[in-house]
Amino acid sequence: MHIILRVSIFFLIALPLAAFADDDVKSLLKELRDQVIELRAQVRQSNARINELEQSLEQEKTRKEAVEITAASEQPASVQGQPTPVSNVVTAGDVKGTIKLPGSNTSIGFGGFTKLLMMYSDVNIARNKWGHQDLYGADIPVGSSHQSSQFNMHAKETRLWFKSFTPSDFGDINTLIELDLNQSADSYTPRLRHAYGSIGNFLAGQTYTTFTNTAALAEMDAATAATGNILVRQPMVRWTQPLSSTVDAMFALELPSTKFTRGSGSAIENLDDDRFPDLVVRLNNTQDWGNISLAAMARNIRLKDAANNIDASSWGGALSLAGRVNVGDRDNFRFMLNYGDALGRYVVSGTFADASYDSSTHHIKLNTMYSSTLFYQHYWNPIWRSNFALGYAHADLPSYVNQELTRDVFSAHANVVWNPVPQLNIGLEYLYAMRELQDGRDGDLNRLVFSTRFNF
Amino acid sequence: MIKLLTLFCLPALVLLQSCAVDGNAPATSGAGVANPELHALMAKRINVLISQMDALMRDQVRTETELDQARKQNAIRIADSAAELQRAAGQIMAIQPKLALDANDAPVFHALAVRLRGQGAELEALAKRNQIDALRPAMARTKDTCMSCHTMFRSR
Repeated sequence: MHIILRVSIFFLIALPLAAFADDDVKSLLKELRDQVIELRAQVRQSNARINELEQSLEQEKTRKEAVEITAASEQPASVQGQPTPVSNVVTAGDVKGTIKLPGSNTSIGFGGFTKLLMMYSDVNIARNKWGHQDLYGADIPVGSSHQSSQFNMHAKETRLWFKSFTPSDFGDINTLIELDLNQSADSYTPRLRHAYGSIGNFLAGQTYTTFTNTAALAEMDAATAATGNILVRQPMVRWTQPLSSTVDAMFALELPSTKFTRGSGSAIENLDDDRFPDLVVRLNNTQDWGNISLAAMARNIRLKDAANNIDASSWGGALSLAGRVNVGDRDNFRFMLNYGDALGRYVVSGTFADASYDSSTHHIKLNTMYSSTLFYQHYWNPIWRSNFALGYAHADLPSYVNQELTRDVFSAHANVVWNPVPQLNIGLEYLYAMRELQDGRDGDLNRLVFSTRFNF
Repeated sequence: MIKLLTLFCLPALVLLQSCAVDGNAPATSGAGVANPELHALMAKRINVLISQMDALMRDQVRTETELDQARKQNAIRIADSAAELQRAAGQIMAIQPKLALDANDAPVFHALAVRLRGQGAELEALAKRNQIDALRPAMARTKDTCMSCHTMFRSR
């Protein structure tokens, strides 16, 4: 009993005290929680302020840059890196790669490249033939006597050019002289490729025939051009008349040169006795997507050989539809289709004659021909590219001609070119070419070409 | 023969017909009409033209003077597009009030539009002066401005 009483008294005193202690702890916790909430709010405020200040700083920076760029762009052109002409110093020219001489309005430039071709062919071609160093339709061997492989190297495509540009009241004056070392098949004699001047719309001198749309030419940077290309350079006078901002018409008088075969002879002769220039008209349309052109040519084919009592002539014509279509940023597709009875010497240089002379009737027959080139240039990336080309040419010759004259020429090309810097091109190309004669016999050529080209 | 002549004559007619149409004119949206996509179209066109200019630097068939002429024509197209780009930047500034940007964003947006216009002017000046080598770096700076603006504002 005594013990029970003591325990009861203990609980009566201890329980209220415990209740008081619990209230204190709760109060303390509440106080702490309020403080944490307040601190959190302060941190949020601080972060917001920091963000605000950072944004202001960024805005200020952007604004300053924009103001600087705007101010720079509003300056007159002469202030922006265009130095005021000084009479006693050499300055940059008006076109890329040229300089202006002191006190002169003429920009002059020179350049060129050294080029090495190294080639392995599965047939052999005589050293004094063009086909030994280049793709040359007439030299593709037919018959078993050439069936031994051949290795060759040369640097004859090395080139040098000089140009000038002068603005004038009558239009821009341009001149160009370009040489290579390809005058003959078995020497390094310099050859004049281009030599012409132009003022405004007028051009005079030697350059690519107006019949060719040069933008549509297949360019096999490693080796040579495809078979169907028209790659004739000759003296001319030319007028280019703009018809709109995208279309122009060209009118040209060019050097005539009749090439013919006599009776059943196999030689392609040239008597240089022409009376009329080759007349060429070309219509060009240049757009963002590329360009397209249509050319027409009229030629007087004339044979005059008093010693053999030959005096015959005939007018012939030819048409060429050519173009270049840009594909994507850099790739492009090019084509050239040519047809006519005056194409002869213009197609596959030296392979076809313009006319066939019939010795028995003393008449000439113009050789109807057609040729075409298809080309695609693909850039794998800015420094690697490949070119693919197909070329074909065909001549309808009369039955009385020599049966060993060429009737068809075909070529297919594929290459890869490495162009790491503008000054260097290294290429590897495979080409297949085929020639068929009048009598149906044919011969083909497989060639692997390695090339280096150093531009300056 | 007649078929072949027809084959060649048809393209001639197409060529002549195109005399009446300037296919190289930049695709504008009409005077005074705002087109927010115009600056993107012009920037894309300038990029393509600069790539074509690179290809012209590698051309090995045409003569030097022919290439100079082709580069000059290309530079004129770039200058035309750059002028259009400046007009597009002006249109962007004109539509700014409609975007309801807050006080912090508005000056940034405006500054970027001004910068784009300035860079368009820079491209135009370079193209007109035929400074071919400077075109690609200038276009890269313009692209940076486009990216900045798109990153900050396109989602709004």
